[in-house]
Amino acid sequence: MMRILVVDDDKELCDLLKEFLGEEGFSLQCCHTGDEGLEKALQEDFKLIILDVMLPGLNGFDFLRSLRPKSAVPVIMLTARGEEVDKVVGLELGADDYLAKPFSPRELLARIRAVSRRTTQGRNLNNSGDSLKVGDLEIHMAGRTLYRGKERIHLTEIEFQILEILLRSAGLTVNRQDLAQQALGHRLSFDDRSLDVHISNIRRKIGSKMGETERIRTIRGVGYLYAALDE
Amino acid sequence: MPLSMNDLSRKNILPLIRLPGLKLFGRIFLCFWTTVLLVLIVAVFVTYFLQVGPFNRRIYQVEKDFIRSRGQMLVEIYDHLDPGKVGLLGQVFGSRFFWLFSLKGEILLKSQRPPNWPTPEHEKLDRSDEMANLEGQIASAVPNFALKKEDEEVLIFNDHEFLFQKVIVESGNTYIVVNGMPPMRSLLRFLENPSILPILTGFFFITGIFCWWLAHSMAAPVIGIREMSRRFAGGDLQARISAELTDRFDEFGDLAKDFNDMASKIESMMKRQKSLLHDISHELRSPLARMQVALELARKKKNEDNQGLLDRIGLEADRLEKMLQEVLTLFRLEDDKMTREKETIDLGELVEAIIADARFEANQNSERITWRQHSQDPVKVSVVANAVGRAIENVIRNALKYSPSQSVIEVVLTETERSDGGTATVLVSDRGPGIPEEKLPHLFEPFFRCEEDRSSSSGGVGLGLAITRRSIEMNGGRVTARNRDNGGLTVELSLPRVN
Repeated sequence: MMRILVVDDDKELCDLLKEFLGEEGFSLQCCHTGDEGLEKALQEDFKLIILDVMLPGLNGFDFLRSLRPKSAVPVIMLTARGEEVDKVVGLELGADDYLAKPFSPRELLARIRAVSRRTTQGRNLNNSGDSLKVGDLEIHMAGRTLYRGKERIHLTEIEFQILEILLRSAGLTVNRQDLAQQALGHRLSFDDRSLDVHISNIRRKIGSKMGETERIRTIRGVGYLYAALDE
Repeated sequence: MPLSMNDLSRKNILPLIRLPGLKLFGRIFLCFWTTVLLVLIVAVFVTYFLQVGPFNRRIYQVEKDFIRSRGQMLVEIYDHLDPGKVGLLGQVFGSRFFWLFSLKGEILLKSQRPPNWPTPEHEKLDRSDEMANLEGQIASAVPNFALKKEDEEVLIFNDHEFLFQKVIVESGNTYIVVNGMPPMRSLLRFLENPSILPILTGFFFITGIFCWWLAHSMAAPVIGIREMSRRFAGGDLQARISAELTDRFDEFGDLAKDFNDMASKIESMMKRQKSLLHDISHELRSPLARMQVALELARKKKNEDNQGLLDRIGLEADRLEKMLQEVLTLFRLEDDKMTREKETIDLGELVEAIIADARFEANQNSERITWRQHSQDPVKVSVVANAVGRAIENVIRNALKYSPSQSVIEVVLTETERSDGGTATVLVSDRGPGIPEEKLPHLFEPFFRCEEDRSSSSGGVGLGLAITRRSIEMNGGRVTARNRDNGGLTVELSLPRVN
């Protein structure tokens, strides 16, 4: 049973989701305020958090801001429809994915599966003890950890996933849509900035340049390329 | 074709008067100016007719009396005088023209100008020819006059007046004296004064300035109020008349204040309405989200009888969701804060991404949409990319939806060159049924439907193109639609380019 935490002030919706996702094999815990949710998220071990942005008390953004330094657990954010800003801010604060509310439950299920697949993938690789070194970066699949030289850099699950894909094709251009399909589990519409936000988060964390070389280069209209190959 | 006077006036003069803003101004200006000029003319004539005219007549009368007694005196003296000394008499009375005739018309004596006397202005007659001619005419009139009963008569020769008198002296002799009369002064003599032209010009000019100022001060507030009411009607609810006008202590000031009051009330009313609709749309999302989850749960119960109905509920829930989404999008576009998110992008790249998306959704059938860009250079526009992207996407989706599945949708990006950037235009043409001409202007209004297909399979809610127009206009562009020659519709989205 995969444990999921839902933080949403709509109690009836939580009950319905509990029933719906329960049948799909997920075990749901519900919290109706941000503070309560944050406490629970930090105490217990959840595989995924579904977080509504509009919460009484501690709102979704504050929740993420407090959660991220302490936990890399995947977060799917529920944003108000049409509020572009919410999505970008949420992703910048370290959410893995977002879904506009009202959402199709099947869509939610697909997103949850995509995230859980990534996590299981991570688990499996965990056993293989695989690691990958490109330039000064080294990733260990085992602990889902990233080192730049000796320094450990904390990435969220989704960021790790994206960087891993880029590093595995280092020196080659990775198509935007392929990258989104593999990492996020869905295609991007033209106005979907989530991939760009994740990439800019990664750039910020690993440093945008290695010496004079730009690490992740944007190939306009195509995709991204990891270019910092040699030390 | 020759132009008649009528055509000319209709073509050239009327449009000038009918120009917006000039209408009232022109009318007031012309009215005042004409009035001022008329008053001037009337004043001048009244003064002349009532004052100068009678005065002139009196002078004339006095002169006539004087000439009459002078004539009598002349005849008395002539009759008593020695014939040898008569020549001197011509000089003594020579300050004016006179002729002394016998009853038969023989000249007995005539005026002789003293050699050193100046010639009065009105008597500047040519001494030789004209004088002889005049004398002949007068002489020939004398016998005629002699036969008349009247003792005196004024006759005119060569525009000069002459007083004919019969004088009977004590001795019983009768003579006829003809005296030149000074001319009666013309009433409009002042117009002949050479300094009258600059005076009149100056008068026209000065009254013109005053009338212009007056007309302007009356028409300007009306024009100002009108401009604001137009902006307000055009959707700018923040349009208010400036304090310069509302602070006036006249009816215009009151009108301006009333307008501003009305505008504020309407604005706040509209705001309340909008926020109400916005809140409703917002609040509706929670029950809808629950409904969608409940629906999925119901579907899993595997009751075959109800699956059809559940699908139907699902479809309607999707529609409701879409409608809410579009209403909220439209609201967001109304918010001017969005324009702060403007960035400079390559329009070609954006259109290409949208087409890639649309092709993907049209089951990878890339044949359905053709894409052509006229120039190879990036077409730079400064826009809110998401809004413009959605605008173009909606148009392409519409084209896909309403045209036969085998037909081709053409998307073309063209641009016009101008020093300040020109415009970039995206043309989306389909081979669908098109839109009846009379409905074309309403195509971009919210909830516009071409046919009575409310329950259509098209699945739209009728806000897509309204969103398109709002998005494009928010970015300073224009949207138009027209029917194609061989069936179908072309939608044209133009945006200002930047360098």
